Amino acid sequence: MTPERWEQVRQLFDRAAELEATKRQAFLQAECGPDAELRAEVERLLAADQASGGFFGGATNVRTFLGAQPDQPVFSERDIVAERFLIVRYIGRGGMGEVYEATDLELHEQVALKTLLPRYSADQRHVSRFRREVHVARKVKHPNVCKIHDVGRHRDGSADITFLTMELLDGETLSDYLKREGKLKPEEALSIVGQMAAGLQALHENDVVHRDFKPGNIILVPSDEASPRPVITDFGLAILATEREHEQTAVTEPGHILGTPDYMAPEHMAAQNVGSWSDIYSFGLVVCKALTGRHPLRREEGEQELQGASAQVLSLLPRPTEQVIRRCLSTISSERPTTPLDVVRAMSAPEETGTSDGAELSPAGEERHEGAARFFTKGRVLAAVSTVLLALVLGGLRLDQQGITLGGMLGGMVSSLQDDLCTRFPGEALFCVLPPDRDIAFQPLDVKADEKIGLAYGRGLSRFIGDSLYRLRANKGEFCFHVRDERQHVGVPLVLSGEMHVSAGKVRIDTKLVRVSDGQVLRQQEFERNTDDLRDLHEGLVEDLAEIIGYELDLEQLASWLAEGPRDVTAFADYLTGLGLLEEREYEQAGERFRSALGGPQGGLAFTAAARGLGDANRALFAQTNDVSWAREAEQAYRQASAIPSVDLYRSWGALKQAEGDHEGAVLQFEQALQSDPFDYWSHVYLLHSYEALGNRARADEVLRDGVERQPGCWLMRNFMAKVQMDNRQLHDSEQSLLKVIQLAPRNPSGYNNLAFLYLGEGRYDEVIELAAKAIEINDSPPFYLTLGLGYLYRGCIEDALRNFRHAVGRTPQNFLAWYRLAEALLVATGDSDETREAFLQTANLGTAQLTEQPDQREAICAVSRSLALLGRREEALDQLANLKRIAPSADATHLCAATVHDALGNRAEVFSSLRGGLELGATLHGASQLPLSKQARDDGRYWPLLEEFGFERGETASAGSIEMAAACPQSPMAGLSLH
Amino acid sequence: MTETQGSVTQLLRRLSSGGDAESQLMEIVYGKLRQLASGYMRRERQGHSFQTVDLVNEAYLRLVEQKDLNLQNRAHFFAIAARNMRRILVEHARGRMAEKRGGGLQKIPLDEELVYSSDRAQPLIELDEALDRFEQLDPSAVRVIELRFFGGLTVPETALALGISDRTVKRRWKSGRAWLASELSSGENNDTRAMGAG
Repeated sequence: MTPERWEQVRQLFDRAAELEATKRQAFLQAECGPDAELRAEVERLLAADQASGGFFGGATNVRTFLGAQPDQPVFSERDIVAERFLIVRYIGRGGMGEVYEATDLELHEQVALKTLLPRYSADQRHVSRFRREVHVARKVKHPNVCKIHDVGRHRDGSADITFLTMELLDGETLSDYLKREGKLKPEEALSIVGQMAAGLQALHENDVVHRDFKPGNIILVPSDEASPRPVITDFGLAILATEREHEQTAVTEPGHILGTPDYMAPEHMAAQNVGSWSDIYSFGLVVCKALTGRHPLRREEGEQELQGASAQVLSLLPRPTEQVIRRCLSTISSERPTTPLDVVRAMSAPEETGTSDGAELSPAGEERHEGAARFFTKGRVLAAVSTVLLALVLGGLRLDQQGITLGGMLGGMVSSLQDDLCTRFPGEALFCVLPPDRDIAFQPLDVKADEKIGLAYGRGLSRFIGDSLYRLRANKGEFCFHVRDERQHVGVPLVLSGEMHVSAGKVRIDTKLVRVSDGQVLRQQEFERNTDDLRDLHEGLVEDLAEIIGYELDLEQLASWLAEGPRDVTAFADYLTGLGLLEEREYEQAGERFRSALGGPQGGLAFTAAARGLGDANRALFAQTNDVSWAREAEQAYRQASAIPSVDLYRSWGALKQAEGDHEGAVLQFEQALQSDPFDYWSHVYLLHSYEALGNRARADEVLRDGVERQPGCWLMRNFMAKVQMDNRQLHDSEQSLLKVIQLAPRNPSGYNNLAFLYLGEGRYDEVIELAAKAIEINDSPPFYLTLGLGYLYRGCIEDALRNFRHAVGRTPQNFLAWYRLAEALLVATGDSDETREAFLQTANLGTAQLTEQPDQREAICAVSRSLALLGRREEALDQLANLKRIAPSADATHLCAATVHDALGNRAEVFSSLRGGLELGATLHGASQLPLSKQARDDGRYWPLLEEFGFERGETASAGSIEMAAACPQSPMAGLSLH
Repeated sequence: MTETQGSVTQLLRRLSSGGDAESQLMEIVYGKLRQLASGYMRRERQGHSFQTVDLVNEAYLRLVEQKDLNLQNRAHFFAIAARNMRRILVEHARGRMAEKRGGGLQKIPLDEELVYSSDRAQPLIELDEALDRFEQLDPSAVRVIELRFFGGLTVPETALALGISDRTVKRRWKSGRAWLASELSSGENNDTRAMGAG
């Protein structure tokens, strides 16, 4: 602030202060006009004047101030508060209350107890603020966020004191630290900043906006690690981003601005749109203050006042940090980095200029960074960053099972390398052993062996390692999924991959932990194992790999996992080979191996994992042959395995029951699986299917909700929920779920693609195009081109649609759906041409082939049926349609499909009754109006009245039922990419 | 009239006529106030109400030959005295803080039992620093605060000392106090600090 500005503020303050409180608002409104900052300043002064009656509790002279005895603490040592908390000591006093250390006599743990003084406890507004604090803060569990336990009330005679209990943090505030030390020590700075970012990130991921992020609200707790652990505290001003605006403002007094002006974002000061971006602003200021010891917006002595941030202070920072802090401090919130971790990442980016050898600073550089965070300079930084990131990541995981959001740290950094990995190992599976914000994909090792059995053995060993990692982590709910078939959709930041060489008596494994974004190998390790050393191969290898990904195995879990393991190495070798053969779909051979493992000299019945493997092999054979004797054998094997039950066993057993059509039996198994591991993704999914099959909608919904609530950060579960909601035509809920998926996994294309599909049914084509393009940008995968093409098609941009469909067909010529999309678009564009016929023929052939593998894939049935009808193969078409009606008689999609088939067959009356049936069952109007129907059907006098009967408004969208050429097609978001 | 009295009076006159006498005055007033402060209360019986204004007044009595001075000279004296009181108190506080940390700053010998409780030391230092920042924005308001807060003067005395109206004193006091209040309370030391090690 300049003296001139102050003069302006002061004059307004003087005049406003003399007015009645109720007239101040209007006065300031009139005087300040659009100058929100001016108004905020004046209001801040008015509030301060009113709240405190002056500094230091209204002391008018230094004597009153100095001589004033502090109020005696309300509680004394050994007092028992609310019959539960034993006061250990008085820690100190804050604005409205006191803080004590106390022992929770119920749970026998030390807590901090923060009171609201009696005179404030009487005021409902303060009490509800207190309650909110608990409500909001409890959403987040993170080592860098203070845990708030509960709110309570202590009544004792006339005293009525509200208090809250929270994690006892024994440390000083960052503010005190900076006052004493000036700034963070270089060797600690990166870790502290990174951890603060991780904490803030965790808040934001839970929709919490802190609104008062500042050094005084960060406590540095000494730890065994190299640096103290910063913990974000004080949620008195925090809000939920999901709250509506009026709910947000309700917490604050009208005309009062909450927060700390020194660290407050301009939009917050102006009482405008506050969100996570406002915390980013504060975070930028705190980082600058912590690294330089100076507040960039505060004028230092002898320094010229600057508009905005002080260039002098910012220039103390190394270039990448300076740049990102400048972005944080942008007055335009949308220009700020999106997440705290984005800031940290940008800070650790290498400098663009300067010498390349890094470790040494040029004299100019030396000068530039004089007194500043020199450690951030190039070269050393890079090394430091990866070490620290890893230390953070690993340290964090050790620190607390919650861990620092590892993937969050590196999160969302998916790039071409991932695609490379996927294409390099086509057909292989990836699965993730951590949730999306800190996930690591374990890529099955690339096995090299001289002979077939060695290959199977190696593949089995690789799968065994992956399953073990999954299982040992799963029980803690630390990761949510296990992807085998969704390889293309995995947006993981870290991949553990490698090669395995199997030779006589030996296994050599080269592993590396790769950061997907830039291909950097974070860790690399080589192991050599003798195949006759059971311990080395079994728990040893799993332990070693867990160590590489920074996961400390839980001994108790490890013990239970070992219990089902083999007792001798021959049995184990058989078991591993069996697993490998399962991967190769050699089920009978796999079964033999498992039997042999069970019958080995000391393997015996105790080797329950092998029994489970045998069950899996038999179950696969049952699925393949439909011969129930295999199902009985599978059942028997599972029963044998149940001597030492596990989530895998119950899940497999349930799947067997499901395959047999015994959904009640399946439910029992899946419920047991979830008891054994409440976080297992597939058990939730399967269980839900069984409840649906039993018609128990309510319980199915519960399972779904349970899955999501248990792992609120699990995008896969939420994505699944969105699909179910879409099927149930809960479109708004589905949209919300998908928006959440995108928020949870912004670098995963699934959410965008699915949301595009949802919007397709709502006629929001421009958004469809945008979302599909976004999905492609993240992962250039053919299915997304189909979505994009549909967006164009209904938008009326037929050429763009054709181009995208052709692109998908070119890349996946075996995919019936790509052909089908192309065929329908060709029908619109060229009518009954040779090319159109060819495309429908391909659809029918490939779709039929698909149906031999998955007979109940409804989309394939419909495409095949419509194609056959258009090709004049009437009987076959009707057979398929009957098949669809048998599988899903009451799905709206079935009726809509029937409309298209009857349209192709020329059964006009059937078209309209089917259309009506679909609409009555809840099909969306846009969905119905987008059906591929012939021009005659659309021109029929019954078509529009039918749609209108269900509320369709003609001309509502660009396509309005028939695909008309749009006057102007949106600029293709894919313009930069060349499509073939 | 003592030698000091004469020189202080002369210095004040010189100051009033635009001469450069401030630093010399500061030197003398500071020394006197410090001397007074450290010994003042020790001689008095327990329970005496210590007032900085008493100190300043006594310093005035001892340092200035009053009848030779006009109101303006007097105002200068009080402004300087008040600023010195601030300095003395803050130095004492810093001494305490340093002592607490085992540092080596020389402690200003005030009779602390009567002067202030130790946990006010840090807030006093913060107030002082805030005043330094406020000085950049509004030096005249800082004079008002110094005179009233550190000098212990009343509104009319302050008005007289600074040659401004009572009303202006009140306004400067109010707005300045609000600025400091928001600066200090919102700064970086609100209640969470209490959660630290203590």
